[in-house]
Amino acid sequence: MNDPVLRVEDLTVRFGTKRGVAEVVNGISYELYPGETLAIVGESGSGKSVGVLALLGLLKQPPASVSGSIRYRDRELLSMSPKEWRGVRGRGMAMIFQDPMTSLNPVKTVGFQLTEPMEQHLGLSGKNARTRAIELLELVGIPAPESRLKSYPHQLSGGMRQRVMIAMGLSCDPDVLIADEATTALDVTTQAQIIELVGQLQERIGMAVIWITHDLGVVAGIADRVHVMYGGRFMEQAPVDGIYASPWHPYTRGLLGSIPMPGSDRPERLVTIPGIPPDPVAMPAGCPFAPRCPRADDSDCLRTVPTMTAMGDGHAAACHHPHEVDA
Amino acid sequence: MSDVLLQGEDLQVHFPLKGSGAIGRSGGTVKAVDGVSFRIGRGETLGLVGESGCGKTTTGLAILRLIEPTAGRVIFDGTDVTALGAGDLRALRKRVAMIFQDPYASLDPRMSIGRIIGEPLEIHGLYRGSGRRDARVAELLEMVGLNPDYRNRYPHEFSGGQRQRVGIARALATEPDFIVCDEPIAALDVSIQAGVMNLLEDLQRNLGLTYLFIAHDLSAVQHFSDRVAVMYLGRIVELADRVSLYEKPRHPYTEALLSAVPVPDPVAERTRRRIILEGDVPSPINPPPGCTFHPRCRRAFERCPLETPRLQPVGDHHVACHLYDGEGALPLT
Repeated sequence: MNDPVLRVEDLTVRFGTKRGVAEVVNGISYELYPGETLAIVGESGSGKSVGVLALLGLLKQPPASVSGSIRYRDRELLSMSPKEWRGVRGRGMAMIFQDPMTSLNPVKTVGFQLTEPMEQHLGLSGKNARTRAIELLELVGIPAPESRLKSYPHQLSGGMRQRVMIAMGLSCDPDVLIADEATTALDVTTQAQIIELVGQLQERIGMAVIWITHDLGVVAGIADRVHVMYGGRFMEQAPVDGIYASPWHPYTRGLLGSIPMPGSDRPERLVTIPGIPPDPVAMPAGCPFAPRCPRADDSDCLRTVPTMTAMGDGHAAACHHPHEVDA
Repeated sequence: MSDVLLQGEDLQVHFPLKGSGAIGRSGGTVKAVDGVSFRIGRGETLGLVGESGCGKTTTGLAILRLIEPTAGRVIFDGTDVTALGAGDLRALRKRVAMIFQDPYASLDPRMSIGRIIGEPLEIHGLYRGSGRRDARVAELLEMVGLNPDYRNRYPHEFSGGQRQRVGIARALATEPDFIVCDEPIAALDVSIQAGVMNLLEDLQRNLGLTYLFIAHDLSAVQHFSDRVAVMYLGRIVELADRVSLYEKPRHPYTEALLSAVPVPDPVAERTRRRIILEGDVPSPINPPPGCTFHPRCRRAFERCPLETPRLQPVGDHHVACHLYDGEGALPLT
């Protein structure tokens, strides 16, 4: 296999708050290889978005404090100056945010917002940047791209705005594209359009994609590998088929059981996970899922954090009492 | 369906647009709901799905007359709701209720949850006397799985899922027969959604409730409903039994919508065929002529832009599509 384009080790993010230190990301490690799609799945507050904001150096320090290691190609990002880091953003790694209405600037035209990063990162002249902006809008399937350059975000539909965001993300040919709940705010038919588009572009230019989502349906269709995140830690990681066919972690099982399967013959009762996610200011001493876990016991689960243990086939889980695997 | 509890007949909600002219000339109309008819049997759940802006929420509000329908009738248990005066309407509202999408915006932050749940009782003069009313509030909290001791707490002290349970308890307070559930789980996390859906199912079974379940999430609607109506630009395009709709969608829009729903099964996802619709939903201010879906429909033909299709029986479905009526109609498979 190729060298990973991104190697994250023991990434930890804490925030100083009035109530104490919030432990939002607690030592996550992963590798991302060229051309692959890695999905990070989790519910609100699991730390999945903060984890990727840290990759791009977008967390203000303080209140955040980021430690561990983030290696992009052969360079350590966490020891970079803000100026060096700016050189990585856009060309090396780019991000598509969840809500295109709040992440696009409402008082600047689409054209301005598209050409600015290309002038900054690629050093293109205004005219060349404009030509490329038109190409990009065409690529993401926006009709009449030339006239759209003069539009403001409010003049576009939600799907169109998300396409503009994607065009911005792609503008500098990044090695890594991070999509943070990029389709969550969209209708299913528009979501299908965007997913198809990202897949086509990935095939064409070979970029790696980190797809952050809570939607296990979306993940099944797009991911090569999946990491399930809870309470700032990875609970389970596996190739996409393994996660769905033989989930080992009780949390993964719970999540999968709680979603209705379309078209099932008879409505079955959904699995529920009692309780609520942990408060990052008062994380449990042991496994973060232990207070809600049907398999937790007092001796290990509440006291020691389980380590990620490999169980073959790239499948690993952090659990003291994983489910039996059907061999 | 012998025992119909609620019936909508050609329901319309049109909103006039303010004109730009100096004397407020008419600037056209938004046809949010444009001729919707359906029946809901006692104890049944009818699902109403569609994308943002298709008019599903407006339909729910119009049924309860929280928005006045501009035309058409709503008949609830033999009474024409649309013809009721203010006093009779208030009496009727004891028997119908609504659960809202956003559990943060739909609870007054300055009222304790006990007062929130007790307010409908106060308005309708039920369970008079503070002792009886408190007992009823406690009973309602227990029914939705919340500790009755929490009654003096305020909404901000609860999680999203718990707040939605408060909203459900409030809806149940007057012992309604019929509840409009408008996206009751959309704002909740996945692991919390299942709990709220199970609760709504249990309540239906125990109390004999009838639901209109409005959602954009097709998987949830199918899990929850007996029959499902699919809306597009203010009209119902297909209505069928939940299993049959999924297995044999007739309308090309239903087909595309279903194919776009991601399935949590990687093996199935790799093999299935997805129909990608071109473009966006057109504006309801100036909808396309004829069948409003025709510009995006891969099976549109000459007749589609000319004539508006009516919702009519096709096999065991109801479908509004020219493919299935008149000459050259498709044979049913």
